[in-house]
Amino acid sequence: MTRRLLNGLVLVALLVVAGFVIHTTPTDAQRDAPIVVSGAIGSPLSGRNIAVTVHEVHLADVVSTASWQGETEGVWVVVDASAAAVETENGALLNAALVIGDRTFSASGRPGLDTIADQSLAVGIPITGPIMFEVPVDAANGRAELRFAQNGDPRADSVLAVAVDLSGLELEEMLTASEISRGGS
Amino acid sequence: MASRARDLAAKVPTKWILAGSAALVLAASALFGGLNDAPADPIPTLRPGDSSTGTRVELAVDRVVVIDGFPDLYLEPEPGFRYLVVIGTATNVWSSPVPQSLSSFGTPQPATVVSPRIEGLEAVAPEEVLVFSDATTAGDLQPGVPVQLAYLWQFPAEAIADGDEVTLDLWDETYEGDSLIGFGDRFSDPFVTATLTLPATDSSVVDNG
Repeated sequence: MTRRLLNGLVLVALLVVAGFVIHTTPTDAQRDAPIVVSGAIGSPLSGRNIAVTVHEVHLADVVSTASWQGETEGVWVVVDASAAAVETENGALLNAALVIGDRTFSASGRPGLDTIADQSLAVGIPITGPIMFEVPVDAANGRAELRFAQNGDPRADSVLAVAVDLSGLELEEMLTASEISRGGS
Repeated sequence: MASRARDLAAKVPTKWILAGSAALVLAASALFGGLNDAPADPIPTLRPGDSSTGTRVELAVDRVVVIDGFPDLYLEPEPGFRYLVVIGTATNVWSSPVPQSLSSFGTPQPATVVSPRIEGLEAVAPEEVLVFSDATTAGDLQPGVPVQLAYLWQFPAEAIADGDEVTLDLWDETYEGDSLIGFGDRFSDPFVTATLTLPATDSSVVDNG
């Protein structure tokens, strides 16, 4: 009798433990989730091998740089930022994205070398310059989030997130983007 | 009589009964056309100006141009070849960026947006995709932002002359869900969703786009 009671108790205990394990095991998405570091415009953010400071955000119909002039059917969101590596120099700013609602926009490659997107990062020597995003006119208002990571695959690595409010920004007809500089802030 | 039938039924192996009844069902369905070829869905033919909407990209083809090359962009075809340029407006209808220029590593990629039907040319992705307004390489199409693009293929110079009709295949792809090994959305099995025939315009060498 006592033995049966003991067996029953052990069974219940095992079920409770199994239930706990099942309900607390991270899902694949949780296991692979990026490690997000959030901040605001102007505040330096730092992750595993990337440090970014967003200085300014502009909206423009046309953006020009030293060697390129870009038109769009939408609106350009031009972000002035500084980016540097933290640990090693074998990385680049390959993953700069703007998230508005459920849509994700990637940094435009059209400006070529006049944007800091895709440029290699140096430890402690930030590269400062513009990152251009093309978004539809109706998306260029309201809350958005800028995300920066070293790799196209952001799983289980640092992602720096900066909240921006696009609704308060003036739409400039023609914006001359800042030139890229290395060093300084 | 009934008992003889029962004895007979007991002697017949079950397999025969199953196979026999399956054959009967098939034969019966054949009477109603069950063995005929399934009718293939005809691929719709678009009229000039119509757009084709795929899973991720909507494309409205404006025109087709044949041209010797774009020396200013360092785009020169192989000797004996010219460029066929499909100019159209592409819109990303997906929620994340859609790459337009595929890095091919020397291997022709299967077409996923548009490809011309040219004799001796497989339905491959374009060699170059350029943004029409500034002649830069089209990287990602951004959600909801229409862009006029130029898709470039090389073709044997004598295959198409000014005014020749060129048939374009417009492609769609199948959304496979989340990638199992990598991450993010996965697409595969491109298929032709519509065709469009336009006359090619011969253009002399121009300096841009």
